[in-house]
This record gives sequence, structure tokens and C-alpha cells, in this order.
Amino acid sequence: MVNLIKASFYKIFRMKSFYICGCLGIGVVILYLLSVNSQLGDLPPALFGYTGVKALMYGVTAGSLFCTIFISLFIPSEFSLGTIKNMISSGKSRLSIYFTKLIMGLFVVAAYTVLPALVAFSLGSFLWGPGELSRGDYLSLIRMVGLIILAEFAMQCLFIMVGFLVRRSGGTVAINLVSIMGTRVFILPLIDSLVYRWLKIDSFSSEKYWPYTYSGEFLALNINQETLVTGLLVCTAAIIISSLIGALTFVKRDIK
Amino acid sequence: MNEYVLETSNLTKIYSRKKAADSLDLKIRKGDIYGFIGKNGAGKTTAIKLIVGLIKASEGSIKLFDSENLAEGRQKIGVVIENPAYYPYMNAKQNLEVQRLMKGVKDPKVTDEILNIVGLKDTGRKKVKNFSLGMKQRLGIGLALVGDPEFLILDEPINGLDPKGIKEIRDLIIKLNREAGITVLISSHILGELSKMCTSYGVISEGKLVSQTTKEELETYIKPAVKLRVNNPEKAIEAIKTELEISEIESDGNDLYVYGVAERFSELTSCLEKNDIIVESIYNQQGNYEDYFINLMEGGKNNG
Repeated sequence: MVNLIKASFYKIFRMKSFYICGCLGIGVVILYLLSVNSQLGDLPPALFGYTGVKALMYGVTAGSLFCTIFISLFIPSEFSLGTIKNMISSGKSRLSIYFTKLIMGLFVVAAYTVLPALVAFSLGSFLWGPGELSRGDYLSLIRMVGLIILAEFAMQCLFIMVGFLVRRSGGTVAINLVSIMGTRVFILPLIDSLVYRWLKIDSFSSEKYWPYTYSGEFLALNINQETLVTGLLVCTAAIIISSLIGALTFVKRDIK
Repeated sequence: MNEYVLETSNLTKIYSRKKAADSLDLKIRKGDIYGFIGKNGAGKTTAIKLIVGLIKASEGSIKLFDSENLAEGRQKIGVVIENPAYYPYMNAKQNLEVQRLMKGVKDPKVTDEILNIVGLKDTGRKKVKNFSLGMKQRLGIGLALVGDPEFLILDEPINGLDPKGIKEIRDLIIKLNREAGITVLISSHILGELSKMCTSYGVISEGKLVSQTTKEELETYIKPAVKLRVNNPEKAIEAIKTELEISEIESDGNDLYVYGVAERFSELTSCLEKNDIIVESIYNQQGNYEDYFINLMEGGKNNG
């Protein structure tokens, strides 16, 4: 598996789309911050709470969409190019191939979370000053970035699973983007209404079980304990379940 | 030393009731260039995919290098299936580098050596997406060569190539077999090409292996003969044997196949005429690989 990881890193750093998607994430951050700054005009940024730290909190999720696009292109490309055949026919186990893709997914999530966040913090600090943070706040900030990476990784595990099931870049991109945009708007409210209609439970909220929710919920320095525990459980469960489904399907299905 | 690099037993793949591979018993000897022959859709690629693990067998077993540990065996195999698989946004060397890292080959010089072997050392930074079809095929073989394989499986490697490209690939395969001792399985339906390089053959038709033979055996089946139809075959055989001193005669009812008389055609007719044997038809039957294989592919019996 170490050899597969080495080869995957070699590939990823030679893919233009890796840099393009990364630059787009960073570009969006820069544009947003410059736009906010121009709207502030002569008003003092501190009045509205704009600091480097606030900019970082925006930047930490700015790469999410581009991360999804990149993962949706990268995973199925091995099938469409046929290079997955080179891996399997050289005796690599399908499980190790799948878990290599998960590790690459984690790397991409980390890169697309941390780099825009650092750019946002630097630009925000340059424009408005870094903001005052205690030592404890810095630890909370690091914990927040870690939790955001976990929530994003849980989503990307679902997208990797889709990539392995669909095996076509176009289809994977479409399904994954629609699931990001459509799930909270259409599917989750539908589930809630069905649960209410059939089980008469009006306190049920399916949004609590959707990992993407926690990309927003974790975006705070002080997260309440219940949200933290639920979020950790939901994200971990999403990672495990989607990885099991994806890996087992990949092991069982033929490569045509 | 193991005699066979590949042995399959009763290897079967069923797709929704249709047997794409039906009880295949393939045997490939170490050092051979094995021509795997069949029409499009006969089951060649299915058999190869079963061997390399891309699809799972419905029944049967596979042995690689005399072992059923296929994961280990597959590490000694180089494969090109259907079309060479590469990363189009990289150059040839980078593609080989990916393969080298994936196979865990420590020596980075391997990529340059392989570029040299497959004749792509001068491609420099040219991206593979801009390669000609022949160059892509050679890169595919190059990728299969990473990790010093003992057994090379090439599925239709000359498809779509021009005559020059076909010759280059043929010369490369022969060179790899003779100089590096690599056993090769090459599937194709271009029979003329296979006959120029293969040392053994397997013919597949509708998923079934209808013949498996060595080149030497094949030459005995398809050697030239004079085929004649006579009114008295016993008398004709006796006359030919005694007067022309030819012993290699086969009979099939009133049809006789006389071997080794192609250049003594007039002697043969005189002999038969002298013995009052009426010849209804007579003609030279040339040994022809293509006819032999086409006959097998179309359901003819295995002459072997």
C-alpha cells in the first residue's frame, strides 16, 4: 500500500486540476475578503468584528466545493483511463487500492482546508489586523480546523464511494454536486416529513445525521458538547459506512 | 524450473446465462510466445481479464508459476489489456515513473532503460496524449515491462497499427522473448502476424478453447498435401507406396491425402494411370495457417 500511496502522490502533483481547483478555492477567498474590505470603506473593521481570525473562519471552508470537484474528477479517472487495470493486474489488492484513495482524499481535504485558511488569515490580518486571541483561543482554532477537516473528509468519503460506484467523471461530478446542493434543500426535509407522517415524531431532524451540517456547526471557537459529540459520531459513522460500502462493492464488482 | 507459467483448469465466466469463457484449460509453457487466437467476441479478453484478476471466475482455477497464490504470481506479470492504459497529461517517462513507484521498483534508472527498449527515449517532455497510436502501444508494453516481468500478457497489441508499427511491435516482442527470456501471451485475430512470432497457439471460439498446439505440431497438421479422390483407394495407396516409395498417406473414404509429393505431381498421376485407377479429382492442398485457424474458429474439429 505504501507503493500505491507514493504513486498516487506522484500523480496528484502532476494533475493540473489539483492546482486549478486549489487556486480557485484560494481565489474565492481573496475575492471575498477584498470585496468585504471595499464595502467597509472608511468604517473601522473592528466595529463589525473583521479580523484575521474571522477571515480564517471563512477561508477554512472556501475550498470545499473545489475539493469535491477535484475528488470527483480524480477518483473515476483511474477507471476512465483504464489505469485501475494496471494496479489490479500487478497484484495490488482492491482493498489497498480503495484505502489509498481514501488517504489521498484526506490529503486533498487537508490541503484544500488549510491553504485557503492560511491565505485568508494572512490577507485578513494584513487588511484588518490579526485580532486578539488568548492561548486557549489558538488551541480552539486548531481544534476547529481539525474538526472541519473531519467533517469535510466524511463528505469526501461519500464522494469517493460515489466515484467508485459510478466510475465516470461526469456522472460522479454531477451526483456529488447535486448531493451537496440538493440534499439539505430537498432530501432532508422530505425525510423529516416522512418520519413525522409515519412515525409521528416531530422532534426528528435528519439534518443532524448529515455530515455536511457539521462543516457549519464546527465553525466556531466554542462548540457545545452535544454538537461536538454528535458531530464526531455522525462524521465517523459516515466515514466508516461509506468506506465499507465503497470498498466491498469495489472488491466484488468486475472491471470491464 | 516450472514448466508452465500459466495453467487454468475449467476456467469459466458466466454473464447472465451466457458463458463468455467456457471451461478453459489453458497451458502456457515457460519461454513460449503463445498466440491466443479467436474472432472478436470469442472470449480472448474475458480469459485474459480472468487471469489478471479484473473479473472473477464463476468456476475453475488459475495457477501462475505453478502456484495458486495469484497476488504473488501477478507481481511477475506485465499486462496490456485492450488499450494501453496511461496518464495522457504526463510524458512517457512520468508514466513509467508512476508504474515504478506503484510496483516498488527501487532503481529509478529502470524508466530510462525501458524507454530505450521500447524506442521512446527521444520523446522527452512530449505528453502521451500527443503520441501516435504505435507510440502509445509501445508505451503500454513499456509499462508492462516495469518490474522485470517473467510473463507478458498483450491483448490485441497490434490493433489499428500501420504495417511499420506492426513490425516494430513484432520485433519488440521477439526481442523480449529471445533476449530477456520473457514468456508472452499475445491475443489477436490477425493470424498472419501471429504465425510470424508464436511458438504455440490456443484457439478460442464462443468461449471454448477448441485447440491448443505447438508450432511444431501445427506444422504437421498444415503441411502441404496432394488431395485426390479415386475409385479404388486401397489399390491407389498400395501403388503409391510401392512405386513412389511414399509412406505418408491418409485416407478418408475415397479421398486420399498424399504428403511429400507436391513436386512429383506428374509422377503421381502417371502411377495412378498405369494402375488403372480412375482419378475423379486431384489438387495441391497448401499448408495454410489462416485456413487452419479459421476452420477452428468457425467450429471445425481440432486436428490435433
